[in-house]
Amino acid sequence: MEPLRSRIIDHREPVLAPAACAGGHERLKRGPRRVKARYPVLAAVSLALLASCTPGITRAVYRDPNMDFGAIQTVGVMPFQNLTRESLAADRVRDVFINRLLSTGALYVQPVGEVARAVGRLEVQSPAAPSPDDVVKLGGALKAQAIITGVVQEYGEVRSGSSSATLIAVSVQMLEAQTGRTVWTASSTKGGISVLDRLFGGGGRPMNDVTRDAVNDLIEKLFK
Amino acid sequence: MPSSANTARRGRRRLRLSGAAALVCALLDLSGCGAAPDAIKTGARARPGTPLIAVFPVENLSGTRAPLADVRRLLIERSRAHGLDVLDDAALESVVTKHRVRYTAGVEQGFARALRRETGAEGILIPSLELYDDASPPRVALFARLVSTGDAPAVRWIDGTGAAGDDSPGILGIGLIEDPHALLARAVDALAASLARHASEAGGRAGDGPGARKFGPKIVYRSDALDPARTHSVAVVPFFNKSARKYAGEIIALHMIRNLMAFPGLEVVEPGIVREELLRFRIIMTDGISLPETETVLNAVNADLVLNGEVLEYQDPRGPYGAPQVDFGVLFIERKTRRVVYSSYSHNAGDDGVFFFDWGRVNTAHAMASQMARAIGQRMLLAPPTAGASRGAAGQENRRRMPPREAGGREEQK
Repeated sequence: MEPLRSRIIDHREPVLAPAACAGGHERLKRGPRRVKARYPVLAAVSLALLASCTPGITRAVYRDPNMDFGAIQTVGVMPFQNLTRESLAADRVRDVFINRLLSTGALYVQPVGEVARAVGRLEVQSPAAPSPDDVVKLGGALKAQAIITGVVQEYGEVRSGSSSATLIAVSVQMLEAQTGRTVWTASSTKGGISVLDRLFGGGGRPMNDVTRDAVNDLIEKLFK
Repeated sequence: MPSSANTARRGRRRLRLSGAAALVCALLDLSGCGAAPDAIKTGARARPGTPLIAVFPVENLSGTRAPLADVRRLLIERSRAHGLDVLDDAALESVVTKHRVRYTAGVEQGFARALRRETGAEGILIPSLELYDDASPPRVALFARLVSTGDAPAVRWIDGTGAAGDDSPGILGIGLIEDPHALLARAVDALAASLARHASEAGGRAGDGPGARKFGPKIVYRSDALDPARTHSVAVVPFFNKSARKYAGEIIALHMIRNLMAFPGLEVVEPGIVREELLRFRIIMTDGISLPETETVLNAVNADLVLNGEVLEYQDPRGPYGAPQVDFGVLFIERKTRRVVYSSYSHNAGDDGVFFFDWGRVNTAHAMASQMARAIGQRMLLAPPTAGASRGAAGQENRRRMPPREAGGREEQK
């Protein structure tokens, strides 16, 4: 919340500053030619002010500053929660996520069958959203230092008027296996209707490409 | 005058003869283009020294009604036409009945031994019909594999073919095939010819040439622990089918077996034996194979790697429009380290990279999945990179941030 407040105060100050008002009086005294010359400057300043007055966006990533991420060598990726109408969305995104995470060479991901076996053995009630106790147990069973969970919020085609495009929104979180607390979260939204889609149509990019982009974005946020 | 008249008559006659000859040639040429397989005589005798093979009933993976008996009859006819010695149905039936064999999509150890002992058959040919679509244009896809009999049954040869009636339409559509039976005959003949080649070359492996780059896996993980110079034996456990297509898991498993067998460094365990062991140990997989199950299966069949995966899409178009779509992931787990040594995710559509006049378009999911599976084998058996040379900068940076336990792993992404 701190950056957001400071940003708003900073933007208001130049507008209400007496120096700016004094500048305005001076300008009236000097005549129309100088006023004309200053139009581009004023326009640029007002544009910058307007742009900075847009709502402050909080970062889509949380990293626990006290966590030593270098200690994580093996992770288990739980089944993703599916909030979309596409029944296979969570499986698809999880599959891409696991492969991409493995392909970085930095983490070893336990096979999905091993995760399913651990979930069955430990009788985890909600594998997509395990409790901290479950996370600790799963970490022990999978010999993993962290457990990753995820939620697929949007997956598929979106429409706006006559335009359509593919869209994905996914968020993941990493839970430390020793304590069960969240050490990293990130979310990514890719696809959607662009200006080109509105102008020329086309239906957007293939869903698989959009999914890969979103997963790459998440992985980049993990290693940033 | 008479001599000039004779010359003119002779000239006209020569012209007529050459016209007729051209017409006959054109007709022969057209008939050659139309139904070449039907022209093969079916009464050919087996070549001396060729092994006796038994042909199992056709496994129906098409998910629809299909002329299975016709496919089997054609396969036997064509195999005999190519000089192969086929065990007669009565002898096979008696052994199957005696040993109460119900599962004929694979070979179990006990039956392989009994068949060898009682009939002298040296191999079992198992045909699998992947697709039979008699709409216009028709589509057909088939697999067949030859499994040896005796004490240690093993896959000796496997091949597959997938074709659509509009694969080669030619000028003004003269190459279009409208009759599904003609297409089926062509597919069966291609398989029989491949089998005959294998028999004559004494163990040559079937396989296509290198696949197009666009069919390569999209995300790949390959551990450096996988030594391409070593020979690995692979046990293929059933793939999870999450697609709408019935039997897509079995189909992708067959594609993988076929294409892995094409590499000299890989041996594949007969799926029937893997199934037998899964049943014997009562292994029920809920969401992929676990590590204890991997160990059990690999110890039972004495293999180095277990191949598992899931199929998310396997779709053939119906009619002339649309393109096939295939989407699957594979996972190889090693017996010694009990770790994943290769994992990849592949997806393609038949019209990927097609911009002008359908050039490069693939009309059947079979043809596309085959190239995708081949690309996986190629990527798997790539020589490991020299340290730091092929690993991307991002991978090295990630490694510094999160050092893995294993000194392996390689980043590849398209």
